[in-house]
Amino acid sequence: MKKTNLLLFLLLAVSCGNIFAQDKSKVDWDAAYERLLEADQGVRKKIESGQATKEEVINWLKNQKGDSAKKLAQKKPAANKGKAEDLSAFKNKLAELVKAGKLSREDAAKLAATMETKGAVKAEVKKEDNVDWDAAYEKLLANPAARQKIKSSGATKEEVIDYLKSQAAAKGGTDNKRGVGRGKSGARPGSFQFYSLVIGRLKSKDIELGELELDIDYVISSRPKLNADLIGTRVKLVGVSGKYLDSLLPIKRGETIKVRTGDFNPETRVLGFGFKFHVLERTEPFKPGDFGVPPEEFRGFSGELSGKIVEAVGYEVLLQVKQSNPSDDSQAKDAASIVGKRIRIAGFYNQHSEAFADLSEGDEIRVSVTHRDTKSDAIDVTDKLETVE
Amino acid sequence: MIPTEGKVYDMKHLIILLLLLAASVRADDVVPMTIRPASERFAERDTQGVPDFQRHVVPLLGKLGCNSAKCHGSFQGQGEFRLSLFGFDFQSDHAALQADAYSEEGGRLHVGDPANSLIVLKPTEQTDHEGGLRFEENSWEHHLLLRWIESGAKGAIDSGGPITNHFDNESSTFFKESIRPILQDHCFECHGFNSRKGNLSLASREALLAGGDSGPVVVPDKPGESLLATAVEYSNDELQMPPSGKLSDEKIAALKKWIEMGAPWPDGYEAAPKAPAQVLVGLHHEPNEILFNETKHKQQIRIIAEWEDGTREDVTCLTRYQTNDDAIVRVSPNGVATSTGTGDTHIIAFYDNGVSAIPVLRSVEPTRGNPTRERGIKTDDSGRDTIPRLRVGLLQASDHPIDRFVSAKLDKLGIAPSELCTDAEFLRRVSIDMTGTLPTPEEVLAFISDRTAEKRTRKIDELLERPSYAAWWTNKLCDFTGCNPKSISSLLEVAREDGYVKASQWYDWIYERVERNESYDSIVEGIMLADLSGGSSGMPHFWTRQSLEEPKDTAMSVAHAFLGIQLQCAECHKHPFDRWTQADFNDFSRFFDSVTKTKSRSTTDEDLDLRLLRNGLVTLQPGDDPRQPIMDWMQDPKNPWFARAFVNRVWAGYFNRGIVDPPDQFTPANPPSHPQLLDWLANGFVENNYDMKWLHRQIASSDTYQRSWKPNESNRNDRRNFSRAIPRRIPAEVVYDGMKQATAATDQQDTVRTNLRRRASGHLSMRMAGTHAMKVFGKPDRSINCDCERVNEPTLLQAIFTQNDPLVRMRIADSVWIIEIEDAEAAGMRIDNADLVQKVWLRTVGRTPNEEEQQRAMKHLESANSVAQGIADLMWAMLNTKEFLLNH
Repeated sequence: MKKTNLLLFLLLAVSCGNIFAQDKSKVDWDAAYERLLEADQGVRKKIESGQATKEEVINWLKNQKGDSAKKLAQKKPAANKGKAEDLSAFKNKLAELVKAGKLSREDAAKLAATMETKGAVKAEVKKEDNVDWDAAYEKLLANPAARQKIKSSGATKEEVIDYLKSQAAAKGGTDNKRGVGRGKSGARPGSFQFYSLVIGRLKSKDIELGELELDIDYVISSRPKLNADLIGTRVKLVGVSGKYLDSLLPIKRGETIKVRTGDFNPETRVLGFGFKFHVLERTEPFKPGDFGVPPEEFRGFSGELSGKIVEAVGYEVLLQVKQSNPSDDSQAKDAASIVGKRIRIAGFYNQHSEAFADLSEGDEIRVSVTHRDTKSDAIDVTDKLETVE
Repeated sequence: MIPTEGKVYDMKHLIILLLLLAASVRADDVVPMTIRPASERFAERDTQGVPDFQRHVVPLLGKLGCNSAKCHGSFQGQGEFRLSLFGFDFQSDHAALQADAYSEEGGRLHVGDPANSLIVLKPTEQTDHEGGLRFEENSWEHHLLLRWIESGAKGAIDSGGPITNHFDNESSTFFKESIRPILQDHCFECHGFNSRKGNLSLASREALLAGGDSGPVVVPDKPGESLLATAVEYSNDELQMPPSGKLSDEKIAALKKWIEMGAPWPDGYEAAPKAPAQVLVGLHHEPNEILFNETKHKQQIRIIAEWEDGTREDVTCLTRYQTNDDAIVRVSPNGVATSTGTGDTHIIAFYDNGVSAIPVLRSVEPTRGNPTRERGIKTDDSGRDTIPRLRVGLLQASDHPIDRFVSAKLDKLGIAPSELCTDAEFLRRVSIDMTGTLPTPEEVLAFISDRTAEKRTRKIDELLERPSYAAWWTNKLCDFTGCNPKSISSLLEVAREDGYVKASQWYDWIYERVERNESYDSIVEGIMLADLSGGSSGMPHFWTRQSLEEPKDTAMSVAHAFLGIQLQCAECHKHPFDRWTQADFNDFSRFFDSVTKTKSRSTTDEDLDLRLLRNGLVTLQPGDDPRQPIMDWMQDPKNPWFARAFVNRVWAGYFNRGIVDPPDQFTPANPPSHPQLLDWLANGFVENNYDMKWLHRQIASSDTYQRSWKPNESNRNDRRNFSRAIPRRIPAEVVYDGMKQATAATDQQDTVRTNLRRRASGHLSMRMAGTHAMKVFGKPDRSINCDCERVNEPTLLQAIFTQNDPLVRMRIADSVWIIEIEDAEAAGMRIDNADLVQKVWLRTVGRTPNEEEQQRAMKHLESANSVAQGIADLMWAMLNTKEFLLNH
C-alpha cells in the first residue's frame, strides 16, 4: 500500500469509526489511548519523555490481537470527541492533504462534514442530560449512613435516582456545575499539539505571568504550512514557568530568542511553551543556514551524513555536515549541497535515546537520515547513529 | 497502747480494726506491686526467674544496640544475623535467633548449653564480635540471657489462637525441607512478614489461599489452575516470579508437587506478624519532672511499665534514653540525668512500644525562678487545665490566656519576657505574618499617629478582612496539602500547563473558603471527601496527583497534611520515635488502595477490617468510601492530632517555631513546649467551630506575640519559650512581593498588594516555584511531606541575590516611583529630599529613619548625580539591609 493511501486510510479509520473494518467500528482509539495512559505508567512516561507519540501508541493498540486493547478501548466513551480543537486540527490535516494532492477537495469536505455532524450530535446529547445518575446513586451508596437509610426505607434504585433528580432540580442544577477538575485537562482550550522550535525577536515579556510576544523569523516543525503561516507574524507565547522565567528575565526587547513550543491555538494565534524539550534562550539573529534550513537542492535526501554536532537538545541534533553519502532512493538534486552547511536532524528517541543522551557539542557522528516531506525543513534520523572517532 | 481522741485502744483492737479496713478495700483499688528491675532479679546467676522474650529479651537487645541500623537491625543484618529494626517484630526476631545459621564458633542458641550460645559469647567478647563488648560476663544482662536460653528460649506470646492445620508428618516434612526454604529465599522479601506487594502475602496458608490482586495464587491439588505454578514456570509473559530470575527445575517441580499434595502448611511456620498478646498500656516515669538548680546535679530516672494484664514492672534498666537537648541535660544508659545548662527540655525513654517524655527544667536564675511551683497550672473538677495565675512581681500580668500560659512557664524558668514591641514593629510584623504583605507608608504613618488604646486589636481585625490574609493563608494551606503543578499532572521537571490550571483551581478553591472564613474542618472535608470525577463541590486534585503512585504515598500525605504526623519510618520498620509499627502503616495505607490505584474511584471493592492508627477498628464493605471514617475520626473533638496540628502550624507561622517543633512531628518523643497552651488553643479552636480567624485573633492579640525582639539579660538564650520575638527571615514570597511593593508607583501601592494574579503568595505561587528567587529564599516545591521543605535560614546566596540579581536590578531600574522622581527633576519641580528619604524607609522597613540615618541619606542625595539616582542607591541599600529581610 502506498504511503499516501495508508495515511488516508488511517485518517478515515480514526474519524469515521463506522467504516472501519470488523468490530473496530465501536472502538474509540482516542479514548483507548487515554485509558492506556491512565493504566500504564510505562506508556505514560514514554509519551511524556517524547519516546513515543500518540499516533504510534494508537497504531500499536490497533495491532494488538488480544481482547485487552478492545476492552481498553470500549470501557468508556471518548471524553473529547467532537471538541473544537480536534476538529480544527483535523481540518488542518485535511487541508494539508488536499494541498499536497493526496486527497480531493470533495472528499475532504465530506470527511469534515462527518466529523462536524458527529460532534454536534454528541454535544446535543450532552446538553440534554450531563448527569450520570447511576454514578450518583453509587456514590450515595458509598456513604454508609445513606446506604443504611436507603436499606431501611426499602427504596428502589429508581426511586432513589428520582429523589436525587428532584433534589438537583430544587437546587437549580447539580453539584457538577460547581465542580472543578472536569474535562480532559482544562489546559489552553482550543489549542492543538504543535511541537516546534521558534526563532524570533522579543517584543515584550511578562516575567510574572510567563508570557511574551515575539516577531517570528523562523519555525522548525513537521507542519510546513503552519510554519509558513507563522513566519513574519507577531505572536504571543504563554506558559513559561519555573526556571524558564529566570531565562526570560535577562533577555531584552529586540533580542532574538529560540523557544520550543508545545501547542498552538489557531483561533487566538497563541503558542504554548513546550514543556517537553525545555528550550528558551537568547540566540544570534536569525540566518537560515545557522538553524539548519536545508538548501532547496538537498530536499528529498536519503542516505548518510557525517559531521560535527553544533547542538544536541530535545532529541534533535544540529549538524555541521562534512560528508554526504546519498542512498539509491535519494531524491535530492544535489546531495553534496549540504556539505559545509548545517542541518537539523530530528527523531533521536526510541532506539536512539540512550545514544543521544551521550552526545554533546563537538562530537563527530555518522547518521542515516531521510527527508520524507520535502516541503518540511525537518529531516529525520533513521536506523544508524554512530560516533566517529 | 495508742491514745486516740481521748480513748484508749489495746493492740488487739487495733489489729481487728486494720483487718476490717482491709476487708472493705475492693480488689480493684489495690495498686499492684511493681516487679523489681531485671538488673536486680538477675544480678545472681542462680536466680529462678524466667525472662520473657517481649518484656525482657528484645528490650535488652534494643538497649544494647543489637537491633540498631548499624548492627543487626540493618536490612542486610550483620554476620548473617538480622533482627527487626528497633524490635517489635517478635516472630521474625525469635525466628532469627532460633535459626540454624552457624558461624565458625557454633550456633546462636543452645538450650542445653546456654553458655555456649553465640548470643552470649559474642556480646561478652568470649569470641570475636565486630560490635565489641556489649556487657560483662556475669553481669545481670549475661544472667538474663542465660536464664532465657536455659528455660527454653521461648518466643513472644502471640494474640491469635492456634492455627489448626492438620497434615500428616510426610507432607509437613516436605513443606519444612523443600518449600519453606524456597519461600524464604525467593518470596518473603516481597510477600512475607510485613510485606504484601500486590496485596499478596505468603506468610501463612490462609493468606496464600486468599491470594492478592490477581486472585488466589494456589488452588490446592490443582497446580494447573494455580497462579503460583504459572508464575514460577515463566509461561506467561505478564506473570513471572520471582522477578530476579527463573527458579531451578527442581524447585519448580517441588512447588508443583506441594500444590498437588494440597499445599500442606504445618502449624508454627507462619511468617505473618501477629500482634503480641502482651500489650503495654502505660510507661510511667518518676519523678514526673526533673528540676535542677545547678550544673552537674544528678537525678536517677525510674521507668515503670504497665501491662494490660495489670502487672507493673520497673524497667529502668531495660529502657533506652535520649536527651532532646544535651546543652541542658545529659542522660546515661542507666537513666541518670545530669544537668548541663539552664532552660528546659525532655529526656525521652523508650521501652517496648512505649515512649515517655520526662520534662527537665533548670531555672535561668534560681533565686528568681520558682521551680517548686506546680507550673502554675491548675486542674478543675473535670480534669481540664485552667488558666494559670501568675505570681505578682516577676512578670507583668496580662489577662490574655496565651500570656498566662506562657508567663507561667517563664516564671518557673526565671525568665523575664521582653517589653512590648513598638507600634511600627508590630504593624510590620503582623502584616507579614498575617497577610504576607508589607504595610504601605501611609498605613505606617496613620498607625503610629493613632493614639487610641485598642488600635492593635483593630488593626488585627482589619487585616483579617483583607484579601491578602486569605491569599497568604491559602498559600500556606497549599504548602501543607502539597499543591504542586508538577505533581498534579506530570512528573516532568517542568510542569505541564494543565498542572498550572489544576494548581490554580486548587488555590482558588481554598482561597474562596478562607476568604469567607469557612471552618477549617469543612475545608479539609471538602478535600478529604472530594468526588474524584470533580462532580462535587470538593477539591479532588489532592488525590489525583501523579506523585501519589502507591497507597502508602497517599497515606503519608494525608497523615502529614491533616494530622501533622510522619509515618514514613513505619513503612519499613517500627517507628523509632513513635508507637507506629509496620502493621499500623500497612493498615492505614490500605484505606487508600482504590483512590490511589484508580485515581478515579474512592470506594473499596472488598470487605476490609482496618485499624485506624490505633484509634479503633474500621469495618468497610464493598462500595464504602474509606475516606469517610477517617474524616469522621478527624472531626471527632477527641482526635489527638487534627486540631492540634493546625493550631500548632498557625502558631509556628507567627513565632517561627511551633509549640510542637518541628510542627509536623507530633510524636511522643517530641513533646510540646507548652502542653496546656496547645490544649487550650486546640480546644478553643474546636469549640469555636474551627474558626481560623478566631485562632489568628487569639494569637496576634496576645502580649506574647507582641513582644520586642530585643532580649534582656534573662531571655537572651531563650528560643523555646516565647519570651521575646525571634527575628526571622521573611518568606520567599514576601521578599518578592515586598521588593515589588517597595519600588511601585505611589498610586500602584494598593494594586500590587491586592492583585493575586501577580503576587508570589497568590497565583504566582505556583508558576514561580522553581525560579531562582524562590529557590534562594527557600520556597517549598511542595513535593515532599515535610514542613521543613520551606527554609527560612539566611544564606550567602541570598545576600548575593539582593545585591546583584537581575530581578533586583530590574525592580530598581524599572521602578515607576523612581521614574516619577526622575520626571519631576526633569520638569524642574521642587523636590523634598527629606520626604523622599523618609519614604524609602517607610517603603522598605516600615518605619521612619532616625536622625542619624536621615542625615547620612541626605548627604548621599547631595552627592549623587541626581535625586533619582540617589534614591535608587538608597532603595538598593535598604533592600540589602537585614532589617528589610527580617521580620522582627
